[in-house]
Amino acid sequence: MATFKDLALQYVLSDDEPAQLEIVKKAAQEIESSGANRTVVGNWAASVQPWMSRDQPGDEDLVEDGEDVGNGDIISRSKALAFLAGTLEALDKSLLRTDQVTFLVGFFGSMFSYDHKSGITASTQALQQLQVMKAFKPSLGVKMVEDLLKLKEDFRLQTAATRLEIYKLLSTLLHDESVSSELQHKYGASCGFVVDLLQLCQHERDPRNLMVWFKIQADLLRDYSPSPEVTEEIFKAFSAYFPISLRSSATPIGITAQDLKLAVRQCFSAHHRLASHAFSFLLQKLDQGDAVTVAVKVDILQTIEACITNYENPQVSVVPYIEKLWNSLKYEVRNGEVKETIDATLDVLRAIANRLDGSKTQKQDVSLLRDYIDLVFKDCREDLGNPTYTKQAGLLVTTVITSNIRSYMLESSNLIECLRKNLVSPKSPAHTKDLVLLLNSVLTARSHLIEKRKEGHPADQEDLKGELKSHSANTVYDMLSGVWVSIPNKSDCLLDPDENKQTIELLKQVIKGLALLATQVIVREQGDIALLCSEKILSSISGHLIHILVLRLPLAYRDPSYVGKTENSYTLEEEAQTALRDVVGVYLPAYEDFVQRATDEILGYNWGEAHGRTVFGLIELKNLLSRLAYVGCSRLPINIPSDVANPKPFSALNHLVTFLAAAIDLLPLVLVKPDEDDITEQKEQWANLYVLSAIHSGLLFFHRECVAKYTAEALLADRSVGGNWVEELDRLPNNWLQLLRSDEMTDVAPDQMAVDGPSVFGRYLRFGMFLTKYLYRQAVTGASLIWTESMIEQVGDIATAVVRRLTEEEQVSHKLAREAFELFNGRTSSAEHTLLLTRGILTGLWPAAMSELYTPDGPAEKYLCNVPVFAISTMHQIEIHASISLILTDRYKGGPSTADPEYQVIKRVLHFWGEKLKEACASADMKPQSMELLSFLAMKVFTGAAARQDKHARQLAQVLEEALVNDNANADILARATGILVEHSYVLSAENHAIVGRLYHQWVYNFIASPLLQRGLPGGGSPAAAKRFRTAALCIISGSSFGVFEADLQQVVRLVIVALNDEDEPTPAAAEQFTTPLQVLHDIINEDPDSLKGHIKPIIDGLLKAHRWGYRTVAKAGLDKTPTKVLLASKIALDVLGQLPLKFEHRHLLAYIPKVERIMAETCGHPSRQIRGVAREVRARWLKIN
Amino acid sequence: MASADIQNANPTILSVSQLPTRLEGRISANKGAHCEYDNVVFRDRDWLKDLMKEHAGDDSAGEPLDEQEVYDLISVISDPEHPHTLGELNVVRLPDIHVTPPPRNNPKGLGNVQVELTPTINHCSLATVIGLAVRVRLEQTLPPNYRIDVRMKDGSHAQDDQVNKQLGDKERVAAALENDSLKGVLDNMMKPCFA
Repeated sequence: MATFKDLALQYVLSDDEPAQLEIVKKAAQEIESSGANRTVVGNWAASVQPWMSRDQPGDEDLVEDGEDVGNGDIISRSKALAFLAGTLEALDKSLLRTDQVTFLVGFFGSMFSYDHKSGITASTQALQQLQVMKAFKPSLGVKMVEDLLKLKEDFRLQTAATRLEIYKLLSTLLHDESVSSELQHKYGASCGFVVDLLQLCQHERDPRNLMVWFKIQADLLRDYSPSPEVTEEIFKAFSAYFPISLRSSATPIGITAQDLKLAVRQCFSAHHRLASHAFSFLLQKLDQGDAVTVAVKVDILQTIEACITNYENPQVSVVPYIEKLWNSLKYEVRNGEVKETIDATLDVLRAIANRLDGSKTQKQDVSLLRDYIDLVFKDCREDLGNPTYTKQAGLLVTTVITSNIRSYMLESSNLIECLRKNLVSPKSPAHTKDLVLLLNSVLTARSHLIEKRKEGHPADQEDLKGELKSHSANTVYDMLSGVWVSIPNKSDCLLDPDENKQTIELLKQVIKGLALLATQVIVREQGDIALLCSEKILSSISGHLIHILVLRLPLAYRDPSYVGKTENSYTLEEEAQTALRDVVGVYLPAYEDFVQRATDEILGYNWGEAHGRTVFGLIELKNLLSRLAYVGCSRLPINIPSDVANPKPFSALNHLVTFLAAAIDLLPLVLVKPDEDDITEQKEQWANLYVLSAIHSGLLFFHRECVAKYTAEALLADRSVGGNWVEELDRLPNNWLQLLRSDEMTDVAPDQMAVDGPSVFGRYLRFGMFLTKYLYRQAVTGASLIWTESMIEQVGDIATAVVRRLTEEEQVSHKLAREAFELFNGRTSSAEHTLLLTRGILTGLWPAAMSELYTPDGPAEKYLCNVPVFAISTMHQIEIHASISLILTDRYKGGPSTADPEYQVIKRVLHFWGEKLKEACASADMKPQSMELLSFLAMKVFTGAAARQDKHARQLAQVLEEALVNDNANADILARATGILVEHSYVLSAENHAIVGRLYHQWVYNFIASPLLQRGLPGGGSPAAAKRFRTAALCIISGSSFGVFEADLQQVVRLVIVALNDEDEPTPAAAEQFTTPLQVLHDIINEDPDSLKGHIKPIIDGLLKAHRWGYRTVAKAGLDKTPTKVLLASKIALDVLGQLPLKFEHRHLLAYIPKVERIMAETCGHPSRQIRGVAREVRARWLKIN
Repeated sequence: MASADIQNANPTILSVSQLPTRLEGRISANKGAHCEYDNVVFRDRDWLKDLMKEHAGDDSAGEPLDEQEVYDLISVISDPEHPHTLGELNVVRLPDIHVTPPPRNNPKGLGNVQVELTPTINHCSLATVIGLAVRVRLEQTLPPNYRIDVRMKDGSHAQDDQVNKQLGDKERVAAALENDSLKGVLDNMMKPCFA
């Protein structure tokens, strides 16, 4: 006794929650150790006596020692009871015996009658614990409910938290099956206790409590069988809250208005016995018209939908109210303007149709659904003929009819017939468009229903088999083609879209409809699907779409007045292109037709003259070729049976092969003119280039589609390396793709097309390799009047696109590293122009596939140490040479078990180029042009190694240190070339399997640029050498991001200021002296303007100096002869100048306003339009300074 | 401005596609799904752009200030009473802009820009404000060696003589810009220029 008393006292005196927890655990252990001995439990219960009033019921049992402490204070008493509740929580739930539980329920239950101030929370918590005791009896649950109801008016005086505990207890009790049946047994069907409960809780406003209270009401309706009167009382209780909202509060409570809405909605839809009350109540609210906001309207509609979906026995709960519902709802769509309301209404109408149809396991009587659809159709039929309401009526009727398969089968033919009649005599073009739109939505819904047919009742699938195939296809096609034919001159739409906007919109809908019709399927007797349309219809549909796609080419080629009309949009063609892509996906001959028609059209013109006539012809040629690639290669076709007499067996590769074969056949579209000096500049060759670029696009589209459909992992998993393709493909004729296209290939490499699933990708790569080999041979041995350098470069890119998709093992197996130099011709080519082809293959190779090149003194080393004759080379030639060198130094992997176990090859190569640079800078013997080329090439060699973070590349720092001290022009050139080390290059992308260290730029900065910083500042050594070091460092810094050099920011800022204010102005060729510090400054001002705060004057002076130098250079040389980098210097200087008013307080800039304004006003007359534009912006920003 | 004060409540509005632009801009807008890989396939070999430049007859010796550029500068000014630009309302028209550049041998010599405005109605009382906005915009964006002449097109305004006189009088223009409320109106009109 003493122990429990002490514990209770400690608990009451303690405010520390963990300490209280410890105390109750001790008490619980005490009871448990005694095995719930009656005396011990009694002592425990009596331990709170000092805080209880003497006149409390049951205290005659509790009071043992006659201690009287009076009423005590409320808080202490509350805590004392909490001690008991806490002990119960900590106690083993199977320990107490029935009589003890009964006694405790009685004790705590009595608190609801006598201690409204302090005992409720703790008693409720205690009862919650007792309710889960093993010895708990259902009759005790009934007692608890009755005790709770005794709170009456005092309930609402309790705090929200106390009420929440009570709601939780009630919810648990009413949800407990045994208590529930005991309650129903005691109170019978009338559920009389519910009325008292409703009275008890009728004033609840707290959102958290409401959530539980609504759940209790929904449970009462769902799990109990209240009499109609009680049901009505419950309905009144929760419907009083509808529509519910929530005031925004500064302290979020974790409950949203949407949670409350859903909780009330669950009450409405809890049981179908509420139907009569719910529907009339909700419709009455809905019919208040404008008095209801959109959000409330949507809430009402969603609540109606929930009722319809959840009520059981629809004959009783839904059918009687359908007419009433329809009569109210139809106006929400017919006259509605708000999308949310219309969508919610359509959801309700769809829900009714689905409810009347039945469930997946049980169908309702068909007459219910038929009557409903008739009701809807009857009201909408007339509106379909009225242009004002066509759209709305169509929405209503199509929503209902396409809700499920049964309703579709019942009435779709009537709807289509009704649309047909209206289309025969439309009231206006907009009416026609609306009708076609409706037809399209019926077709879309039909596809969706058929797709989901297996998810529904088995009867649905049987119903679909009965669909009249030929009738529906012919009728719909006649309707669409009728509209199509009624627009005779479609070229007007392309030429003058502004005048034909309405017609274009109509045509777009018709095109959509045609594609939807062509892709419709029908369920056959066997249960599988087949195409709905006949070959004749499919052929006509594709003919219409192809017509649109080839229409523009002759207009652009022939019509001289076509110029100026091209600002029109291409929406019609884009719609047709998407539609045709869908059609060729199921009806394969359509693509063959498209290719045939397009190539006939293309070959009908002399592209050698095109440029002389109009460039728009060439633009449309490019568009048409790209469309051929897109339509045929961007989606894999699907094999759907049909009555089409296809001359070729189905293959997912059909379109790809057709496209590639046709594109190859188009080459050459034009021969360049041999009498002109520079054939690379001839525009005519672009016709050929567009053919190659279309092939390239086609390959990329196909790859993307394969990845999207099967995932990249599946494409890799489903491949076997299988021998050397190059050798295998060698045995095939040159016209292999053409033979495959015409399906004449029977004896050589059979079954190339007969694959499915992810293996399609393996075949795609095989075709790609064949194409690469074919084009490479043509390019190496073909006529130079076709295979210009641009063409060869494009062929190289195609090779990259194919080669990089091969795995490492495949590349090794096909010996592609060797082929990169032999170009599929069996011997190494020495011709200059073939370097582009070499680069094409090398770019896509994995490092491991190139390892055989790196044997000491092997192909890679020989190539890398081969110094071109710079005196007779052009920059373009060296660029190509250097890009290969870059790949070779980047993909290198030396070490044990490789061809270069001692890591010597690249070390020797880098040393070789380092020495070359030092030699060249040591004297002024080399001409500046040659030095430019040498430094470019050498830097590219170093870049490849630096990207890998190869330690041997660090020697470049030492090379620069020694080379840049030389006082000659070659050293200047070398200093300007260092930026190449961090220049972006597409061959260094991850997609091309390049080895690029994660900290590549940081690495270059730390090991190459950072040692130069100090040498670049004035003070040490000769000013000319300092300038070179400065330039070299800034060239690297300007190509790096801010984070790379942030640690040395102050030093970099000083370097930038010195560089900008250098007294010697550079020549135009040496514009890096300005562009690099300006670029760095641009980065700094955007990332950390505060670091520049103390240097505003020298910065503005430097910016204006750089800009004026640029302006003078342009004025002197003319815009066309000014190097781009000079204009770039001006532009960045102005950009930074424009940033100053945004980044600094205006007081720092006031002194410079007149100077800047004067120069900016003058710059508004700069010869370059772009610079003028920037100057205007800067001027406006400085004008705002006050 | 209150809707009751609107003088021409239903002006004709041109769509963006109807406004004059440079040819290059129009062509580059043609990008459908079939052109998705153009940037990969063509990389930096922008043949089409070169072709268009050449076709558009760009003067490769320079990009002198021309009528289209002046049009681009002023057509984006917002109308004081409608939420449309002067270009969309056809108040500013490309054929009514005349640019005389400085002599070739003396780029800093005098040039001339003349703009004729066409109010949406011939008794528009805001014509002066519109003219003033055009003038201010040009003064702030053209180099100082250009003479600016903004006027109403002949016959387009009932009092075009008076309006032209006001717009041509430098002192009256300067005085108008001292007026804070008028300056506020002009600032609002200029907002789209800096968007």
